[in-house]
Amino acid sequence: MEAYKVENFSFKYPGCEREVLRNISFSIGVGEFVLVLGKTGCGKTTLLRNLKPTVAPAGKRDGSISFFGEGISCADEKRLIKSIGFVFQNPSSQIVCDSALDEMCFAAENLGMPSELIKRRMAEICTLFSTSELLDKKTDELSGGEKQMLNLMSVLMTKPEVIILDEPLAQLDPACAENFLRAVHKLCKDFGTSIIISEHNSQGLFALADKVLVIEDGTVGFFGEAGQAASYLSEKGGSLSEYLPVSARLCEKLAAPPAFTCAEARAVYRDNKERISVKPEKREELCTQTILRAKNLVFRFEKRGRNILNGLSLDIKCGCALGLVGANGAGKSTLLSVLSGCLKAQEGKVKNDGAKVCLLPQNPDYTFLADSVRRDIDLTLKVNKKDESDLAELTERFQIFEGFEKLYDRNPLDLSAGQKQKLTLLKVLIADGDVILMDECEKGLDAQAKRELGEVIACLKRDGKAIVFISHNPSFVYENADETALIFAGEVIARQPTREFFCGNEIYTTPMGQISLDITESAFTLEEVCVSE
Amino acid sequence: MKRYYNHFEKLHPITLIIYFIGVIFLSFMFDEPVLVSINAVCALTICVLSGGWKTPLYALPLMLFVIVLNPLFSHTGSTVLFYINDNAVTKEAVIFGVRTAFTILSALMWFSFLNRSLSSDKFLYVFSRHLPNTALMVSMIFKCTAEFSLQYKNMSSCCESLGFSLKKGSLSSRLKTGALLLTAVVGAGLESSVDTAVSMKSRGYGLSGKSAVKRYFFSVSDALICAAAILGFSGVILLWAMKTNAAAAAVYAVLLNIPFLFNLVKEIKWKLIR
Repeated sequence: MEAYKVENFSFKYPGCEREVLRNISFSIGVGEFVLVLGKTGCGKTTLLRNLKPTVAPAGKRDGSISFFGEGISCADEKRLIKSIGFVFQNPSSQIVCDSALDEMCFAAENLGMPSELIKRRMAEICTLFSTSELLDKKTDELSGGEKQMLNLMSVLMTKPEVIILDEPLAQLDPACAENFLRAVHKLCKDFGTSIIISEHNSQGLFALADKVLVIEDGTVGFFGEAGQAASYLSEKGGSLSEYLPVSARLCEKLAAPPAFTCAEARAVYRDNKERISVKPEKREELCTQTILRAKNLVFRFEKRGRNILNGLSLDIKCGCALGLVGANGAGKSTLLSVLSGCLKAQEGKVKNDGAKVCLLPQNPDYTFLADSVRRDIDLTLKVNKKDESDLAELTERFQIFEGFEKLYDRNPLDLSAGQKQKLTLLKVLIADGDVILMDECEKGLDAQAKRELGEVIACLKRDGKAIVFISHNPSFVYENADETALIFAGEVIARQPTREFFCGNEIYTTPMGQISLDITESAFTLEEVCVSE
Repeated sequence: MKRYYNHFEKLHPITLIIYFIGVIFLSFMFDEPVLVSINAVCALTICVLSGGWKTPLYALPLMLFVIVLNPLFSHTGSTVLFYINDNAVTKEAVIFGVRTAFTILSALMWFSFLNRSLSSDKFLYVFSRHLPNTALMVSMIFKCTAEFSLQYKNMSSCCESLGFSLKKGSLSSRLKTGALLLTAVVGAGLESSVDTAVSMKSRGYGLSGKSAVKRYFFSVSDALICAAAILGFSGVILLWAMKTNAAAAAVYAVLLNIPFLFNLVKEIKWKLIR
C-alpha cells in the first residue's frame, strides 16, 4: 500500500488563466524519504499544500490524490489531520502559544487525546531527541533551530504516518540544519514515517533521499532514484544543476558516477588527482583606508551577565567586504548593533569620522514602509532630502538597476528575494550610507538570489563603500568577502584575506574545500577546479 | 535584606486563586481598624520576606497622597485640629485617611505577592479546562505582543539607518515616521498571522472534543489550604457579623498568615533534610 498516489493532478488558482500544476503523477511508499526540488515559483509549495486538505489552497483541482488507498478529498478530516504532519518554512510564525509546553501539546489537545497519553508521548519524544530543557522555556526565548525542533516535535505528538516539510531549513544556520535533518532522517529510518521535504540547499539531502522529485514549471521533470536524478539535473544544466550538491557536480566534471557525500567525493577526487589543477580565483587589491574603527569594545546586556563583546577591536576599510564568521552566541550580531550605534558599549570606543552606518536586517521586509515600490523610494528620497534627479543618477550609475522601473507599481512584499535585496540597496545608496552592515542576508535565498546578492555587494564595493556581513554559509563568504574574520567568545580570533583564511582552516571550510583538503592545493569552489583530459 | 524562597508558588493554581480571592475580598470588606492593621502587617511581612523592600516603597507615595487628601476633602468629624481656608481639618478625617491608606497598602502588597506566586501560565491553566478557546486566545495575545514589540524594535533600528529617524528631526517628521513604522509593523504582523492560522488549522484547531493536559498536581497541602481558606474566611465573616470581634480578629490573623506559615514549615523541612 502506498502512502501517497498522485495521478494526473492539476491545480489552478482562482482568477488565474494558467494552471500552476499540470498532470503531476508520482507515488510515495511507506517509510520513503522523498526530496522535492524546483526553482522558486515552480509550484512546489502548492503541490505540498495540496497533499494535506486542511492547508490546501482554494482553487480548481483535477486528477486524484489518494492517501493509503483512500481518496484524499473524501477521507475523514480528523484522520488526515492526525496522520499527516506539516512543518512550514518560517519557524516563528508557525508557533501559536507563548510557552513551549503549550505549543507541544497543541495538536494533541485539539484532537482530544487523553491527558495521560499526551504526557507519555511528550516524555517519549523528548527522551528520543534529548530536548526536555526546551519545554521549560517561553517560545520567544528559543533560537531558530530550537523553534523548528519544537514544531517538529509538536507535529510528532499525533503519531503521523507522513510528515511534509516545506523548506524547513531555510531560516536555520548549518549546524542547526544538520541537527534537524538528522532528527527527521531518524524518524524515517527508525519509525517508518514517510518524509516529503522540499529544499533549495540540497547539500546533505541527496545522500539521505530514497527518491527525488523535480518540478519544472508546474510539471514533473523527473521522479526516481537519487543517482538518476543527479544525472538528469546535470544533463539539464543551467540553474537546475545548481540544486545538485557540490560533490555530485564535481563527479560530473570528472566524468565519474555521482557521489553524494564528501567522503565518497574525496575518493573520486583522489583517484583523479593527476587530471586536476587548481586555479584560485583572482582577487582584487585590498583597500587600506580605514573608515570605522572599533577599539576594545566591552558589552553585555545585563549587569551580572557575561560579556558578549570582550575587548573586541576591529578596523573597517572602505571598498572592502569583510565577512564575519563564528558560532551562535559568539557576538557577531551584537557587534554589528554596537558598530551601528543601536547599542552602546560599556567600555571601548567606536571611532567614526562622520561616516554613516546602515544596518540591514536579515529579512529585507523590515525595511519596507509603503505599499508600492515607487512610494517606498519616494519616502526615502524625501526623508534624505534628495530628489528625482539623484534617483536617476543612481539608477544610471549602477547597472544592477537596469529594468527596475518595471517593478515600481508592485508591492515590495511581493517581489522576489533578489529584487527585494536590490530595492534595499537602492535605499541604502539614496541614504548615502558609507558603511553597510548586513546580518545574515543570504539566509533562505536560492542560488539565483544569492548570486544577485553577491552582485549587490560587489556594486557597493566598487562605489567605495565598506561592507561587513555575517554569514554562516562558508561558500557565500568565500565568494563574496575580501577579508574574513573569525569571532569567538567576543573577540576577533583571526582576520585574514579570505583565501588565506580558508587555507588556514581544517574544520570551517566550504564543501569543496573539505573534498580537496590535503589531496591537492586547496580549492574552495567548483570553478577553481580545472580538469584536463 | 535576604529574600526567602516563596514555596507558596508551588501549590496548585486553583488553591492560589481561591486563597487570593478570599484575601482580596476581605481586604476591602472590613472597616475595623484592628482588622485593617492585622491585614497590613501580614501583607507587608509576606511581601517583604519574599520580594524585598522595593514594592512597599512604591506604595508609599500613594499612601501619603490619600492621607493628605482625605482631610482636605472630608470635613466631617468632631475634633477639629486646625483650619485651612475656613475648612476644618478634623482628627477623624485624618484617622480615616490613614485607615484607607493602609487598606490600599495591604491590597497592593497582596497583589504583588499574587503576581509572584501565580504566573500567567498557571492562571490560564485553570481556565483552559473550562474555557479553552479563551485561554488559547489569551496565550496567543501574549505571544503576539512579545513578537510585535520585537518586530518594532527591529524595524525601527533598520529604518533609522536609512534616514527615517525617530530621534532626530522636527516633531512632525518624527510623528510621520512613527506612523509609517506602525503601519508597516502591523502589516508584517498580519502577514505572519496568516501563517499562524494555517499552522493552527493544520494541527486541528476548531475540531470538537478538545482535551487539556493535566499539568499541576493537587496535593494534600493544596486540599488543606483550600479547606482552611474557604472555612476560615466564611468563619471570619460570620464571627464579625455576630459581633464577636476578638474571635474574628484571631481567625483572620491566622488565615492571613497561611502563606507565611507554609513557607516557614517548608524552610524548616529543607533545613532538616540537610
